[in-house]
Amino acid sequence: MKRPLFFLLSFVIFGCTSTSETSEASTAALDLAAESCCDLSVAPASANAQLTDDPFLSNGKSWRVRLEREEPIKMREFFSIDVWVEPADQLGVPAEDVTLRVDARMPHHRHGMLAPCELSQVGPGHWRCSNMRLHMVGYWEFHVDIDDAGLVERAQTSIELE
Amino acid sequence: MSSLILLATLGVESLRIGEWITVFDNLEGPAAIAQHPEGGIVIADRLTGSINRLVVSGDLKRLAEGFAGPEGVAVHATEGWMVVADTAVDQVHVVAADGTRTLLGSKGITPASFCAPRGVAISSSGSIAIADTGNDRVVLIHPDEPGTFSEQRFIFGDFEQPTDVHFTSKGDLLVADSGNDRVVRVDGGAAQKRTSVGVHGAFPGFLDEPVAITFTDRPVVLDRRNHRLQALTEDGEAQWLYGEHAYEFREAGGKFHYPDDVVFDLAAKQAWVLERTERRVQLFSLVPHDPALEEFVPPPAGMRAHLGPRCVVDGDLLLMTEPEAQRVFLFDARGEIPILIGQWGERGREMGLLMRSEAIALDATNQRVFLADRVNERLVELAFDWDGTVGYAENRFRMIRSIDLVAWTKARLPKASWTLRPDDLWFDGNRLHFADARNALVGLFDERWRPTLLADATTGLSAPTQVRKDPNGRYVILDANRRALFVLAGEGSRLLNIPTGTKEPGGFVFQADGTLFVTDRAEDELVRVQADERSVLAQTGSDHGELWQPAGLVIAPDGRLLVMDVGNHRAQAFDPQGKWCLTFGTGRAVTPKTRDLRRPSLSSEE
Repeated sequence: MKRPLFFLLSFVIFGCTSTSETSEASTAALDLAAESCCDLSVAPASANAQLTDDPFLSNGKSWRVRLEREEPIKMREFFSIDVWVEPADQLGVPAEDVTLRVDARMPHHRHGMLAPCELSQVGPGHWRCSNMRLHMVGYWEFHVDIDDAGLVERAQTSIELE
Repeated sequence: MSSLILLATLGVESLRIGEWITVFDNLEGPAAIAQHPEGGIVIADRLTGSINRLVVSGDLKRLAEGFAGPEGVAVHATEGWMVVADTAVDQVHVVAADGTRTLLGSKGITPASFCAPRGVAISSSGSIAIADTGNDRVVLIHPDEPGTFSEQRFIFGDFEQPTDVHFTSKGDLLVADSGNDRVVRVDGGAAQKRTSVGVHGAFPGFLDEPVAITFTDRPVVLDRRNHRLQALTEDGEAQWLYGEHAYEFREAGGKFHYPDDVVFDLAAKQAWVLERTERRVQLFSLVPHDPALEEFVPPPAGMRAHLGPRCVVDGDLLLMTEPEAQRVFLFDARGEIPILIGQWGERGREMGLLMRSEAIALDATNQRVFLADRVNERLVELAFDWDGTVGYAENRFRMIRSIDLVAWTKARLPKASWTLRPDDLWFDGNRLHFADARNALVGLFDERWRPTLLADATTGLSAPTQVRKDPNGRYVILDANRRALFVLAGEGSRLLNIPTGTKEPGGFVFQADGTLFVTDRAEDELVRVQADERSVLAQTGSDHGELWQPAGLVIAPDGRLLVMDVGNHRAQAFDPQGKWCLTFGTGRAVTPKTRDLRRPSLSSEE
């Protein structure tokens, strides 16, 4: 089920100043996001090339994300990861009507992978990102951008590729 | 080989920049140039609102005046009539040889309208091309008969902030598609026949804000942020390039500092290059291009900080931006010299990357940064982590969310003509405010990103570029087109002018006691306004304590004024009496104690 918080386009339908039920629900959800925006402990960094499969919250705490990959990531080898997304206030319910972007970047070097990865949805709230390849050792961040009708929230984790 | 035969048939000579001849630096606000059919150039001066003719001797003659702020001009090669883009009021005029004016359109988004038009061109057949920059399009208007123009206009889209247009001798239309870092060629003006070259970068053949374009036997592009000219082949390779970054301020002699427009006078074998930042035009000879003499020198790396026009202080923190490097910088501002403690940003179109962000806001209490990316059309919210300890840390920032301003505008501001594009963001401790010059809007977001509008065009706004509150809690707005500060008076949203005596305010800040500090971009001054008393605290120049086209300013935690000295690529600090305290960027800092200390020269180290 899609979280009503970020249905920007729903305001086209209901009106920008609507006090409808949807709008009230949005208020509560946005307040949550505003209060929790600065807790940076939500995305643990792994000390090695093994992605943790513990779920973590997006940076605005609206979504819970889990990345799964059984094998350690090796430099210059293609790999894929599975991504699960669910609303933080409705755990266990897969995210719907959202689009995802997944990327891996080296912020200290100011670049990403050499080629974009391929993302496909394999089930409700479940995506698989394939053809990923980390071409350098060092600090990599994995970004999962959850796009809900134009309002994108980022979930991220990181690894130190050795 | 075929192209050589064609060129020989057309008698087109391959020319390139030769020797530097002279510089004309007695101009007020030169914004655009065009070739004058009788020799020399015409200059659109945005500060005096005039069109002037400049000849090699240096004589300057006024041809037309009364414009608000023209930034585009072209003259018909044989009939002498002109097209003037009056950018400040979003209008385009045809000015007949006898001075009669015909308005081709005013502000709007319809085919008959313009938004911040800049480059204009006239073909040999009298067609007019207009870079309708703010509408991300090019408009082509054909003549019906002498003195009249077709109501049917051809709109070429798929551009991003195009800034210049040029007709080749064949009638092809060249477009400097600045936001896309490319040059587009429209064959014979047919929209469906397009080719383009250009990719972002600094190496030969790469472009970084191709802001103007001309033509010899091939397109010659003014590659603004690479401080050079390039002639590009059909494959996008550099046939030749000319230009070197002027590292010393006001340095001329063929070195460029953000060149903005170019004219190649093929008959006189002269080239003219305009630099708005330096308020000058440089003159060069044109010589035959000889491939054997070309030496490609990669541009120098590691330029000094090109800081943006805005900075913001909240609590103990200072935030600045470097739009060209697509980065925001966070400083610990508690000490004499601000200490860089974190940075964020990487160039690109993808989510989380930046193309150009000048509008920034800081919420130190909740450790958030807001920035608007005018090219990617996004509003980005970042969080940062700082516990008050001194020192730089990697990974201090992370992106929380990004708002697609195209979708947001459709949903939240359906009556807006253009996508919201904040020129200023400001967090007042409670709400995030915005000023959008293109839409003439000032407003604020609530916690659900819904807007409340404070003032718009009906209030009298033209192009708001900064919003703050005075110590009494009243909103004060800087209007770039009206070149003045206004206070928003009460519910009726009346705008009352605040007299500052500045010619072109670039930024302002209030001290708690009501003292107003304003920068003047036109006069290169820092001005203090106290009741009816006006004092100039700093004046024009490039030495420490002097300013060149200053813009935003803030008050540091210790009460000093921090001024973005944009034309000198640095920030400076002054005490409230105007005494210079500090010059700094993202690297080196100079104080009165250290200004006379010289680094060992390279030769002595050797």
